[in-house]
Amino acid sequence: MPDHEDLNWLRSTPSDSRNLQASIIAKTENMPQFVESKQGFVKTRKAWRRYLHAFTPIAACAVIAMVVMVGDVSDEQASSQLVSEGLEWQDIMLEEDAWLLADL
Amino acid sequence: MSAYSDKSDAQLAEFIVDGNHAAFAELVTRHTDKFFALAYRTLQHQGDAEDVVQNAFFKFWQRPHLWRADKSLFTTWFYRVIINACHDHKRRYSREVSAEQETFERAMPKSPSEEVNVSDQQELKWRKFRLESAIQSLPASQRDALNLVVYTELPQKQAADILGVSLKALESLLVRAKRNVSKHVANAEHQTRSLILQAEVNNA
Repeated sequence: MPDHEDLNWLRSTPSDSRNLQASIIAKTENMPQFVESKQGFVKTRKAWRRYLHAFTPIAACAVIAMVVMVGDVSDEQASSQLVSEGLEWQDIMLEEDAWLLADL
Repeated sequence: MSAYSDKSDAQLAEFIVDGNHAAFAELVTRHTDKFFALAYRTLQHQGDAEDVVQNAFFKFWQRPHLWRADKSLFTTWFYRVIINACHDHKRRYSREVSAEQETFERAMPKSPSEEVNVSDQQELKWRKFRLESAIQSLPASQRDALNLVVYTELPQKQAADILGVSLKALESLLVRAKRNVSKHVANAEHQTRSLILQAEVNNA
């Protein structure tokens, strides 16, 4: 078997483990966690809160974009909507033209 | 020194299950060195060993309930996780010779004529290289036993628990591992001596 000196050499490792520790700690900070509930099934914990917190602004923007897209009705739909409000398409056109002329 | 440094592993695990990241950080700080040492001895590659240890801790953070404190010590369980991860890693990315070994080999004298003038330092490198090759040539079970008991310096009882074998079986693995390493080193030295003699004859 190897002598004592050899064993010491083999026991040594090249890593500065502080870097490895720091990396593990930093990367897990916002990592979702799955824990077993008392009922025995696995559920997410904290992850929801963390992700909700991180994604709230993005989710809000997405919801606004969807509302805008849904709200952006076609000309035909707009026309029928206006007709139902007692206005004729031509009136709208005239109004638009007047607005354009006023702008010029 | 963190607020959790006086807590046992089992107490830390309870905090971790509740999503306490500071407790997890304490556990990582406490044990990373020894898990990395074992992974490095098994894989012989710094980057791979770091990946294995990191991924194992990631999985533990995500599923801390997988460790049952009433069944085994945290270190016993996690050494087992690391050994399994190392074996998986080896199977997946079977490197015949790691980059570090290649570097080491490049530093070795290449021909018998070079070896005739080998320095003491070079001779020491050779001895280490032969020993490392011998360990790497062992069957996985013998290598794991040797790494845990001789290099990681764990008590034999804990090593047996980690490997899932009886104490007798572990002792047997160690005896066979030591015998095989000695045989391998002796063969390598014999071959080297033959090459030196051959070179001297050729030079004469």
